[in-house]
Amino acid sequence: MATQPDNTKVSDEKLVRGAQKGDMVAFEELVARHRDKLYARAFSMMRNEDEAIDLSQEAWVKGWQRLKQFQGESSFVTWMTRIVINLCLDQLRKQKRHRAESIELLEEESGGVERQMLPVVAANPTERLERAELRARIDRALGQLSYEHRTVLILHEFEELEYKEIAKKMQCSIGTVMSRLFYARRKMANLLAGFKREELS
Amino acid sequence: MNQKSELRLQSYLDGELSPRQARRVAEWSSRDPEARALLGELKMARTALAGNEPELHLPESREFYWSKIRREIERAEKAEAGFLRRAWFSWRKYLVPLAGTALVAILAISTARFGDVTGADESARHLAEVENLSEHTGAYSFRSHAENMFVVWVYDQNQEAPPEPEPEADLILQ
Repeated sequence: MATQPDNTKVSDEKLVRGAQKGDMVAFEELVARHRDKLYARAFSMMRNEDEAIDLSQEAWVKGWQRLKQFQGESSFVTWMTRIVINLCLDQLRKQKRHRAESIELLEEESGGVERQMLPVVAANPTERLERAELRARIDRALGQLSYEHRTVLILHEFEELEYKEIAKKMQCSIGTVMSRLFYARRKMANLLAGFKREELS
Repeated sequence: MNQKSELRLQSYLDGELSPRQARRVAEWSSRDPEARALLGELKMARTALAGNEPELHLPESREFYWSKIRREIERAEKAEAGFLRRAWFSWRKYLVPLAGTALVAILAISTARFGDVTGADESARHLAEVENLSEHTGAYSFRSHAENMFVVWVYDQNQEAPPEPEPEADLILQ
């Protein structure tokens, strides 16, 4: 009986080349290596476990189907992450069509009330925090942001995209991206400061 | 501070300003305490997030997660193969008339281009089978230089027998 090759020590690049030639065993190894990363990205955007699993699996299927288009300009995992982000954005847009615009968003677009209500955080609430604790607090704070604010933060801070790239992905103007990023950062700072206060009290 | 100034501070933080604009904002934020405080807050939020993306683990086993992906890949490939097969069958009925039309066009063009220089036997009439690459069609051509006439007879080999050669063609195109 033929045994499956041990791909655990093979580089991503070599596995990708194999998968591009139709080697599904190589592709499975890529999935095993990067499934947590893709799931985490989907979850950070959707905040729903089932949707994150479904969308990350859909991304892998699309990745396999488009594998010949991957030329290696970025790393394979970056390329796959872009696919899952696009799927999440599509899903979020569909969901948005089914719900009313939030008052918060209207305020953001008109630019007024929200910023007056947020005090400037002077002391750094993340000082002396263990990394795991900081990550847990960031995750908690992300869960409390609107999806527009959360998405723009993820794309700018974690994916390191520029304003214009985010605008293209989110199908909005650069001005809207800047405005959303500004309020998202301010809210994040205030949420982290709130968690610090909770801890102290 | 107005919204434009706030967003300018942020653009400065993100390196999205020209060197000249960046110098201006740096000077302004060093003089203005409100701008300095806001810039500090934005910087803190950015620094806290950088490299601290929450780490999550997929709540499913490798095998279970992969099995759904593989099933979906195989289902999509089968669906695509089925679509291509259906597309081929639906297009095949157009192949015979298309091949015939193309043949007529090629022959007509070559005759128009070279007809005048084949004057060795002006009075000759030719009826000849035309070689073509289609398995489904056959073609005969009839040419008369004297009558300035060229006819191509295209037929479906499955349905129609080739025409018997006759001294004069019934159908005349001029």
